[in-house]
Amino acid sequence: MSKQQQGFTLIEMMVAMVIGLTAVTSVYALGSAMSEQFFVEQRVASSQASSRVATLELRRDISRAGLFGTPNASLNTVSTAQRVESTCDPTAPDLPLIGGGIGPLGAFQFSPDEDILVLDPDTNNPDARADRLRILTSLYLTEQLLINSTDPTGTVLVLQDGNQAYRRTFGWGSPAGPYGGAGVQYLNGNLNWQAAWGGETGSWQGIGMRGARAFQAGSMLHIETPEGRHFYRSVFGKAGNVQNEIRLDINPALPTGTACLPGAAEGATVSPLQWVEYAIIDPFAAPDGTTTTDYMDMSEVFFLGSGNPYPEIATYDETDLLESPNRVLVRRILNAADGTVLPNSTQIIAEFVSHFEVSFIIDTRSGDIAQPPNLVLSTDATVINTNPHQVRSVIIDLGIRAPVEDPSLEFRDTGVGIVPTRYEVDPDAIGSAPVRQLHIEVPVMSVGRKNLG
Amino acid sequence: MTQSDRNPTRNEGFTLVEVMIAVGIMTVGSLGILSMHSAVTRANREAREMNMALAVTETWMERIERDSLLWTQPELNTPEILGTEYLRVIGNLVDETAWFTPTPTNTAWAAGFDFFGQDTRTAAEVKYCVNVRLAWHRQGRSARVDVRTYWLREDRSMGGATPAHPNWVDPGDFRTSNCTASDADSWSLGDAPNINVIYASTIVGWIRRDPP
Repeated sequence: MSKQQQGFTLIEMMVAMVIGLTAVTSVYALGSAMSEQFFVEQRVASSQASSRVATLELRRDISRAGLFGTPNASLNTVSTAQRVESTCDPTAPDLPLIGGGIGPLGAFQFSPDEDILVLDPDTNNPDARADRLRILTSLYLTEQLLINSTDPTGTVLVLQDGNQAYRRTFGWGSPAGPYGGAGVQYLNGNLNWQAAWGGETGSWQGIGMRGARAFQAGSMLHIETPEGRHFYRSVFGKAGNVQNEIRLDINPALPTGTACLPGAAEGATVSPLQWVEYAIIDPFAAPDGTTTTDYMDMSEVFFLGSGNPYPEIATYDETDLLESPNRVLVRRILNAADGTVLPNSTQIIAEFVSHFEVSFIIDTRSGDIAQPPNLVLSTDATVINTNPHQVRSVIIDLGIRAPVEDPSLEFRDTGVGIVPTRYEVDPDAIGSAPVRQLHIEVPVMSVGRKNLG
Repeated sequence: MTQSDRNPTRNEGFTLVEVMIAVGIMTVGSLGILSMHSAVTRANREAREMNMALAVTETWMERIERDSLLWTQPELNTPEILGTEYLRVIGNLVDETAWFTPTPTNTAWAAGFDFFGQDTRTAAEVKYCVNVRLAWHRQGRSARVDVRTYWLREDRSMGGATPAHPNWVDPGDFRTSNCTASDADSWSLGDAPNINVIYASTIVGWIRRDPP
């Protein structure tokens, strides 16, 4: 019979199916392991990228601390044994303090664990730190400008134009930029100074915005006269709209026309300084009117140009975005006169921060040239805030955890009756690096070189 | 050959042998994918280790740069350079130092770092080790600082090879060594299959303490 049909026997089918099933199962297991690995790596990569950006920002700001002016709280204690920056201001210059009030002006201001209740509201984690750091630094300019004159009351500063530093800072190019269109038109036309300062909504033309940012209201000016006297003054905005003239309202008034400041300060240099703050905040904290400095308006954070944030970001809330609470490290610029946060200045430096600790290396013999330096580690806020000129380097310990908690990793048990916290990961659980620890030390050469006492 | 053999209408299934061969081929293919998975895992791990090692190296470069703030007088054998924490090692030498293990006086800092990149002096926790070498750049005035960071690649195994790789470093030796520079010198750091090493250099100089 040629029509014989022959299939598998039952035994053959069973064997084939068992083998096939084994193969399919192993492929499935392989796939799930791979996807798990992928997500772990994604988390690690995101925390590494985040920590790298944070490092860049911190390094830049700290290393520029004291640039163009080494603020010294003991500015007025003139003594021949000490190296001081002389002034003839009747009162020492000051800056708004962390926590309110005003205090001595310095390159650094430091408050340990200022934000610990934001980072760890349940105070479960005795090891976590959330320090706050303020730095007086020169952000936008790396040069000093010259003063043309002050008005007789000493409250208006007019900058000298016609020099290269001025042109670099305020040069007003054609709309296509300095090298486009009809060519550079430095100092031609109305600088539109008001628009450039008023919420920075003016059109971006050439590099004029750099000067507008550096000298915006809330900056601090370090003025150094040819006689070597130092004055620190706050900027309150522009003084009148005069064609091609940069006129600044300052406070308090300079002692113009006195023996202390002969003439109208012509030829004195001026450097704009900014008061930068690093703090830990809860990005979703509700504004309550009293803690506005801790409230981060998403429309300001995701500012991308014309003032319009991505609408979809603004509509997200905590439960949409995150599987666990997020605390972010922000960098923001403060008004040096009253301590309020300048508009559009808040940037998120790192997300999912679990630890932010600042310590200082200070030279306790700063200013004493007969003795070698005595470098010691200090985290004493009183010492730092009264002797900011002694700081020689700043040490930052930053911990960034993975955004999504890995349930397979145990949290460290902090003790009987204490809830294990998400901020401390069991160090024995090796494998997915859920917390990225960063330890950087940034020398502060601008402060160190002056060696003030 | 019979008639039925050539009959195109005859239906016949695979034999068991044929199925086994097919499954076998598939298994070989799957094994290829499997090894790719482990290769990717290993590459990820090594990238992470390299990243951490770079951070550790940078930390030590910064510590030595800070140490140079104490060096306020030029020339050899001055109290200033001998009063530094790390640079003093070259303070009374005319050419260069051997690799040495820097030992900070502050016990919170160390030449060893654990898996998470934290300083540790506990031998069992040490994962990354830092050694330093100094050489005069201009004698008594500026010095070249070499930093080497090496770490144990724990995912590497000898695989029972006999004899073992000539430069294989016993993981137990790595731990008990606790970053001792002479131990690392005795290993062929660049050739050891289970040790990775990176080097970095910088120059530090003395810093004048200006008169008023």
